[in-house]
Amino acid sequence: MDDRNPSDGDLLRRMMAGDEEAFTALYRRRQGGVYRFALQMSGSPPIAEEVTQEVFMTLIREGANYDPSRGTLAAYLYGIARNHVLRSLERERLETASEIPEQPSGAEDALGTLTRTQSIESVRAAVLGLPAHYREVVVLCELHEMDYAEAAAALGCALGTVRSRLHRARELLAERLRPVREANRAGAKVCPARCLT
Amino acid sequence: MNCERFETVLLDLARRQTLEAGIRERALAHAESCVRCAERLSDQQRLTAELRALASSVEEMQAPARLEAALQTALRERTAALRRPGKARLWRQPRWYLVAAGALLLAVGGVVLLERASSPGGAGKTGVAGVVRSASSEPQALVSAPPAGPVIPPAPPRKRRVTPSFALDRELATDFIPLLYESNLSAEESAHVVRISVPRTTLASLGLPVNEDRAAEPVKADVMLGEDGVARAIRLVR
Repeated sequence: MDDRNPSDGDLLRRMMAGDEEAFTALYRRRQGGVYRFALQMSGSPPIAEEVTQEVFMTLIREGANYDPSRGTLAAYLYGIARNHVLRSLERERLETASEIPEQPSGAEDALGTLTRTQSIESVRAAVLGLPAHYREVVVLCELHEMDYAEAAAALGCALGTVRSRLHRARELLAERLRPVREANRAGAKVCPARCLT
Repeated sequence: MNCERFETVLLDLARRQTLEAGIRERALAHAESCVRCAERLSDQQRLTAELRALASSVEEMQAPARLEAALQTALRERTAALRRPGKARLWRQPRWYLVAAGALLLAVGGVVLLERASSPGGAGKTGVAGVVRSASSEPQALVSAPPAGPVIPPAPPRKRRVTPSFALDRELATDFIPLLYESNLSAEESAHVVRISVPRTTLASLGLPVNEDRAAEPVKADVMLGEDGVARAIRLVR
């Protein structure tokens, strides 16, 4: 790795020796992914910010514990983030439950969803409505485009577990989004008539 | 390919993951001839597109800028602390906090220990592991005591401090210092003593004089355990 594009490992080593520039470079390279992961897992910007801070504080304190043979530094950071997110969600379970949008489950929900301007919000809500162990594989593999091996390293589970959870999670998502899609189709058919009246 | 086999490759097919060319072709051919599997594939491909749209919608999102400055400050402080010699550095290590918590009970004892060490007859006696005594006034109950281990005379019942210590050969020991106010040995209970090592820095944190050059070295102590295995008292050995 050349000096202009040092690896995560190089930056971490320099950072642990107190090199602030190396830390800044590493932080800028990885903070976005960590922040988005925490946000997509929690649906809460304050939690995402808190988690991002905790992840990098942990790296500052315990970066020497990182073992490259167990996965990439990115996976290591996601793993820390995941633990913090789950703890935060548990801590604020009651509060966040009211903040997370309900996933559509029937005609009324579907009609409600129709009023939203972006169907993307329906997908976001459906992802947030997944149980945490399904949500994390969707966020890592689908939204962060991690391969199964890297996701397995981040989550501390077997590759096959990631794959099977992802399969199940996608089934759940498709099931929950089906009413929205049908409502959208129905709306598309109805709309011209409404527009004429 | 049948529907069952199709199901096993559906995930990779819908996510556009690498598949062997032959398998991909056979799966697509099956979907053309099977309405149900074609719907499944269409459904999942649509989901893939929706998820990618969701990912794109947030790909520019970053942590608030204020975090970077806060973390840089934290790194600076940590680096400075690590470069500081002695106690400050040691106390940055999380394990010392745990040790300190565990040794909190020694704090009171440490002060008493210093006072007694300077008083007449206060010098310690043997610190041989396995010294066993009974807290009762009955003949001592010995538990797993080595034959050569001296028996400490019993203390009066309900007296928290078990025994004065005596000078003996090369080792010096303090009095036993009770660790828990509510866990004095009952009159019938026997106990045994186990030799342990305590980090010297723990004592330093409790205000006892410790040579910082030797901060990493442990100090010896004897712990008196009740029949239930709970530590009742401790003494330091030199």
